[in-house]
Amino acid sequence: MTAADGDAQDRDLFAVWVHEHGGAVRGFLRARVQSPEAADDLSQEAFRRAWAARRRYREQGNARAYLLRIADRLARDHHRARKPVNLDESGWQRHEPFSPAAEPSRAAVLAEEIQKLNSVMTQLSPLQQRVLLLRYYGQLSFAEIAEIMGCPLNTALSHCRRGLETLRKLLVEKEP
Amino acid sequence: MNDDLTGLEQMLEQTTAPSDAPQRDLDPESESLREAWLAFGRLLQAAQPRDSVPLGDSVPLLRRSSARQNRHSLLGSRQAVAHASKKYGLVAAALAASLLIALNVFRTWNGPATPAGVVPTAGNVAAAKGAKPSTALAQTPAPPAANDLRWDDSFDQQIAEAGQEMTLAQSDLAHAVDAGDLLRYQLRQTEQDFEKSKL
Repeated sequence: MTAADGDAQDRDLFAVWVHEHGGAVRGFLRARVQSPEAADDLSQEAFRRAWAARRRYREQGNARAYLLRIADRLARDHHRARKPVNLDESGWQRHEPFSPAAEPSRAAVLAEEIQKLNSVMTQLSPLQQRVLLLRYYGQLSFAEIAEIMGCPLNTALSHCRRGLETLRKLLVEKEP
Repeated sequence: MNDDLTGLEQMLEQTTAPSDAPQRDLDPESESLREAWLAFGRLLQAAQPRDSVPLGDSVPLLRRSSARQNRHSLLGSRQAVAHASKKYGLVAAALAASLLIALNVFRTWNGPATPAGVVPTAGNVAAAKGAKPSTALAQTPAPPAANDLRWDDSFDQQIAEAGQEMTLAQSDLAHAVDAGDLLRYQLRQTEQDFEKSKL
């Protein structure tokens, strides 16, 4: 295989990553950092780092787990570097790329949903957030999640269960 | 203990399975947790802004990434051009200096010769041209001898020192000699410097 063939394969690999896992990585980061702008920046950084260390991925094999592992690390660094910001409705609208004036009804609905998600996420501990979001966006096994989080399996399971119980209180029992 | 752990793991895997996954019968506790999980998933989906693309369709991110890569690539190209410009600028300067030296060697061999061993001070240059040197110029000391350059001196340093000598000589002789004489004098000084340095 020539160097040009290798480059072409690498480009294909990157395109597949973005196409198949870009939405998951972005959604994971949006829920974790609660700032669309920061999440987009971190998504770009996650793919850049993943690309730079793609040899390691070839040894591991699971692309989504590999990408979410990097995204999770970036989110943790983001929280360590900056205090979490809970935006009010106007703050979210200010950060969203579309114009609320153009589609006021859509903007209002979205702002409400984001506010609700924000409220739910703040009720979860950081570890519960990580387990649930890695499970949702990565569809990873709990063994993989525990490995990414660097904790024993029973700890990851425990955080998952407690997080689900919190969600039940917030989203099921409070629903009319 | 291990059985409990395995049982909990299986229960949570079923509870948090994707919404389109085939469902087994769940106990009431797991069923309620499953309901919470699905509500959480709906909330995550609903809170995605419209510019966000669903899973498996992330072309905008690819475009953004490409733009960033292009930006990095452009930046790299600019740095490469700057580096190449610097490198080739030095080469061009060395070539120009070589050409200047060669041209002056040619002009010296074809022009009026100065007696060998005579250092062209302001006085003797003016005398050779039949002019009366001024008192101030007659008192002007001969230009300082070039420093002996050693093998370990860099080429750039030698060029710089030769240039300094030329500048000093030019300031001494500027009022008494014409440009041709000065150039020939500088050329000889430079040649002597290079011969001494064995370049």
